[in-house]
Amino acid sequence: MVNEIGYLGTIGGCRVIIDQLDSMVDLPCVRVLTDLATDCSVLPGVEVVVISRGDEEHEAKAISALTGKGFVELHSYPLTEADAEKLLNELGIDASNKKVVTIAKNLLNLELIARIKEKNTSFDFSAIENEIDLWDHYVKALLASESKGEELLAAVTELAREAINSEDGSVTVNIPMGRAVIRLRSWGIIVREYGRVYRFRHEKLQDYFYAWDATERCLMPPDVLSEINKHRSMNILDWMRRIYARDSAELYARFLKGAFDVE
Amino acid sequence: MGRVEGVNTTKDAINRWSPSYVLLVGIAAGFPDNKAALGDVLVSSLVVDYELQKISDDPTWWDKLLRRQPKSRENYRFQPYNADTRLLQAAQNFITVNWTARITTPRPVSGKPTARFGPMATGDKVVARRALVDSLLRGWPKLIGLEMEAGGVASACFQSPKRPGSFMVRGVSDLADNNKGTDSVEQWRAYAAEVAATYAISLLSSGPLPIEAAASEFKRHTDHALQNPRLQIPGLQKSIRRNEIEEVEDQLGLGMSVVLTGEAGTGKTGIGQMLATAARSAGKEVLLLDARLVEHVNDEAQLRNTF
Repeated sequence: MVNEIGYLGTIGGCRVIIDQLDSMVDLPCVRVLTDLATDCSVLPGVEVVVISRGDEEHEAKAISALTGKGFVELHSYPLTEADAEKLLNELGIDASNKKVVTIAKNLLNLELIARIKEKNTSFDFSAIENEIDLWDHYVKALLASESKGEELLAAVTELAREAINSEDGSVTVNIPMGRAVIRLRSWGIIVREYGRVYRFRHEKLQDYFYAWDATERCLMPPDVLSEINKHRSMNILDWMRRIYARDSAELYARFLKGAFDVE
Repeated sequence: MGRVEGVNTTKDAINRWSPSYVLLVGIAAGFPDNKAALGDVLVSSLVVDYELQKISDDPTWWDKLLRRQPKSRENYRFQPYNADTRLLQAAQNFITVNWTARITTPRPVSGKPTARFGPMATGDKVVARRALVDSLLRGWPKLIGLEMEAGGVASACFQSPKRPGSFMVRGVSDLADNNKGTDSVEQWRAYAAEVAATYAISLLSSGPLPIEAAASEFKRHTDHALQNPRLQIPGLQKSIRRNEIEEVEDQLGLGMSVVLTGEAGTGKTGIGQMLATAARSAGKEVLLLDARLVEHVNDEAQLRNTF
C-alpha cells in the first residue's frame, strides 16, 4: 500500500488523510495507521495529515509517535466568541446569553442549536446553562417536535447501542425502513454509509444517546462495561457522570463509587 | 531452497497478502550459448521445469539395429510456465540507460550488465556440470539460464484461485560449469544479486503495473468519506471558514507532515474533508481514511484488503 501511495505521489501527488485515529484507543490498527502515516511521510510527492483528539493519555501516545517522526502538531480550535456570536445572530438566535455563546463555540453544539432552532423557531435559548442542558434540550426538542417522539428516542438509543458494539461503528437498518430511521436521518443524527448501513453523524451524538439512555436506566459503570466494549466506554462514562451530577446527588455518588470500583 | 520450498513460501505469501503479482528476484546460472554472461540480468519469458523425467531402459531403434544393450536414459518431460505478460512486455519495453547507475556493488570486471530475455530452466539441482546444461539445451535450445525455485513459485501462482502473475529476474552469478565455486566466479555473487534487485526495482518504478486500480479504490473510498460534508450548519448560508486549513496547507507546502489535534466538536473532520477537496482540486490523488472503518486490521496487508 505504501508503494502504491508512493507511486501515486510521483505521478502527480497524493494526499493521505487519516481521520478519527483517537477512536481506536489501544487497538493494533493504531500502530498500523501510524506506521502507514510515517512511512508515507518520507515519500516524495506524498502529503500526510493525521487527525485525532489529543486530550487523553492514549491519544497523546499515538500523537507523540507521530511528532517523534517529524510530524508538526497543529490544533483545531473552537470558534472565537465573536464568531460564535455572529453565527448565532445569523441563525436568528439572541446572543445576549453569554453562556449560549460559550457553548456555541463548539461546532457540534452550534449544530445542535441550529437543529433545535430549525425544528422549533420560538425555542427560548436563554434557559440554557451549560452543554448538558443544551443536549438535554436537544432530546426534548426531538421528543416535542415529533408525533411519535418516544418511538424515535427508543430507536436512536437502540441504534447507539448497536453502533457502539459494532466493529466499525456502523449499524444496518431493517427494510422496510422504519419511520424512526427516516426521521433520524432528517434530524441529521444518522447518515447513510452504503445501502442500509448507517452511522451516527458524530461519535459524540452516539455516545450521548447511549449515556442518556443508560442514566434513564440508572446504570452504573460495571453495568455499562458489561454492555459495551471497554475501549468505547470512556466518553460515555463521562457523559453519564455529568448527567447524574446534574440530575441526582444520590445516583451521582453511587456512580462515582462504581467508577472507582471497576478496574 | 528448491522448488518445494518455493511452492510453500509462495502459497503462504499468496494466502497472506493476496498479491496481484509475484516477483522472484535473485541469482542464477547463465548459459553462454545464448549470450548470457556473468553479471548480466536474465528476464525469464518462460520457466521450464525439467524435474519431471521418464527414466527407462527401453531400447531405441538404434539399439535394436545394432543389437546392443540399451543404456539407461532420462527423458525430460518439460513443464513450462509463462511469465506474466504485462510485466514481460513492460520489461521488453523498459529502455532506460540509468538503471545500472544505481548499482553500488563494484563490478568484478569492467563492463556493463545486459538484460537477456528468454526461457529459463528450473529444477532442484545445483548444477556445476556442463553435460547437464547441454542435455537441457538439446531439449530447449533457447534457454538462457537455470535456477532452483521458479518452478515452485510459478506452480503455486498457477494453482492459486487468485492466479497472481509470476515473473522472474535473475542476475548471472555463475555459468553452471566446472568453474562454479571458484574464487573467480564467486566474486560475482554479490554483484549479480544487486544487478537483479536494481533491475527489478527500476522496472517497477517505471510504472508497469495497473496503479489505476489503487487510485480508483482510493477515490471510491474518499468519495464515500466526503458524502456527508461537515462544517455546514443548517440555517447558515455558507460553510464555516476555518483558518486551520491554511495552517495545515502551509505546513504541507513546506514538505512537513501534520497531525491535527483538538477536542471533540471543533470541526476536525470537516477540516479533513476540506483538505481532501482542496487536494483534489489541485489534481492530486487523495486517500481520506476514517480509522473507524479499519478498526479490525492488524497489519498493512489487511488494511490494503479493506479497499
